[in-house]
Amino acid sequence: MSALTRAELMKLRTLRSTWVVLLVLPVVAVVTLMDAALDPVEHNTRIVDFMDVSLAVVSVVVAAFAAALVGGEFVRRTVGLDYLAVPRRVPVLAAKVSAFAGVGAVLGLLSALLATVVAAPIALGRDVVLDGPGDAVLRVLAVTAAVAALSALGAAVGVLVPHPAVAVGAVIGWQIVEMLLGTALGIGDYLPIRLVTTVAHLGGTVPLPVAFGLLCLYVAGAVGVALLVGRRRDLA
Amino acid sequence: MSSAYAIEVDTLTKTFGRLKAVDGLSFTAEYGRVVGFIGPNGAGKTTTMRALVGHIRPDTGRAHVAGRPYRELTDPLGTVGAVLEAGAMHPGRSGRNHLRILARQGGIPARRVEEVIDGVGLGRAADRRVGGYSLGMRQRLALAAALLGDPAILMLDEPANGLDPEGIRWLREFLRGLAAEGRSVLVSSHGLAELALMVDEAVVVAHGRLVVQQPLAELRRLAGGRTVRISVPEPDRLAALLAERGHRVLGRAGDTVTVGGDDARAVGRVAFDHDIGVDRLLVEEPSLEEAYFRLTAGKESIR
Repeated sequence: MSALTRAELMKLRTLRSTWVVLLVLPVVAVVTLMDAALDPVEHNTRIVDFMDVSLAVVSVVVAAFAAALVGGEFVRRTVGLDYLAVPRRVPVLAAKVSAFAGVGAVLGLLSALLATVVAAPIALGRDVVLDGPGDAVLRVLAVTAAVAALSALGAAVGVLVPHPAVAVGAVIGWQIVEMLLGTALGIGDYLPIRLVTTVAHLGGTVPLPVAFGLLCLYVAGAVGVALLVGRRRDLA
Repeated sequence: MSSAYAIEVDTLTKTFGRLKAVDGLSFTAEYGRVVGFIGPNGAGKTTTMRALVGHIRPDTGRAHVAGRPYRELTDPLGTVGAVLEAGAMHPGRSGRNHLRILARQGGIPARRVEEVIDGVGLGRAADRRVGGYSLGMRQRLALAAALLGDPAILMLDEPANGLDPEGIRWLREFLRGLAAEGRSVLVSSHGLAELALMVDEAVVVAHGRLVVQQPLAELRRLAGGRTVRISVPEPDRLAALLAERGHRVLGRAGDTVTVGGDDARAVGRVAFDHDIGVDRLLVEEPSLEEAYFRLTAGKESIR
């Protein structure tokens, strides 16, 4: 891990908001999951079906958190200090994206583990297919990677939209755009937030490798544009 | 030190939309000197400083530190320390952590953090969250961040903002001490009286262009030089007598006559020879503020 990424992680460690999100979000994920699991309308046939809503919540909140914190660095101009320490901007911005991917991975892992532990006993009492150990591990890993990807995407949005409120608005707005595009053009399964669900399901309409590859492409594209824009932007 | 000049700005131009913030500005700053960067609001001081640290890209011209663009420095924090905005810190983080993060980014040993905290007198406040700091404490923290790499060049934009009189005095002595160690300090300020006590020379800018760069004494000379002020009961008579003897009478206000030059003895002699009692006689040199206003007359107002 580079010194820059360690410094970015230190930034996150030294803020209360990071710890609040780390502690609260998995709880929110579990509560959302239980709400779905205890739904008397039993349309869920697999344990992962319970996780859909909570995973969407975790993904959007993680992306919004990353966008807010990175966008905030531009408003507070603290990013100027980063550039004073390391004038080459691409490594600085890449370190931010990496750090948030790391935080996203931790949140994804915590949320997936907790969700699995909570969902399993509920599922046992229902006519719900439980994961085998292999699938369970794969699903936890897939969710971890997918939430990490969304977090990196959020950080890229924060660079592109250098204002916390507007950046958060962009993330939430994208969720709405994604729903509209999905309905209008029938491409919902190929758009980022839905792909997280697909990855968690270990595939669906879109096979798992394709879904994961597309998610990585979205992240690479967004991060690439963010680095390009951030590299040239004046801090006036 | 790869260049004779610590700071070199050469025909720097930067335009934001239709606003030309800096227009062909050129000046230099040497090591071992405190250089005041003076100009009205919107004169281009901050833009120039930002160009010097690579925060903005000039349209044309050069802005070099230690002989090269900031982006090309191998040890940026060890070469240049900059305070461009004292508020550029997260309110939820402690001052110590703010510095630790910067140290980590710059590859600076953690023990240096403690040294600069002591150096700027932040003390135990370093463990408090920055959101609770006064403006003066933020200035000290920003200065500590600038000193983290023990740089040979310092650029400070309005460092006295928010400091109390004791803090301003401390800053003055601190900056003079840094220059005495051979460092170059470029400092902008609206507090011209304070600046006059801490700078060796001044770079005066207006409308993004250089008005003058001169040592302080030369600046005062350019602004009209020294004057003799003499207070007498018969100012009109004395003014006429002085003019007759070839003295340059600059004006009369109340019982005081102002004469160009610094020959107080000759002025006093005229009064003595004509039995005009002298209440007060003194030689004055224009303050930096007066010099500034004379040099930038009609070019903008200062805040």
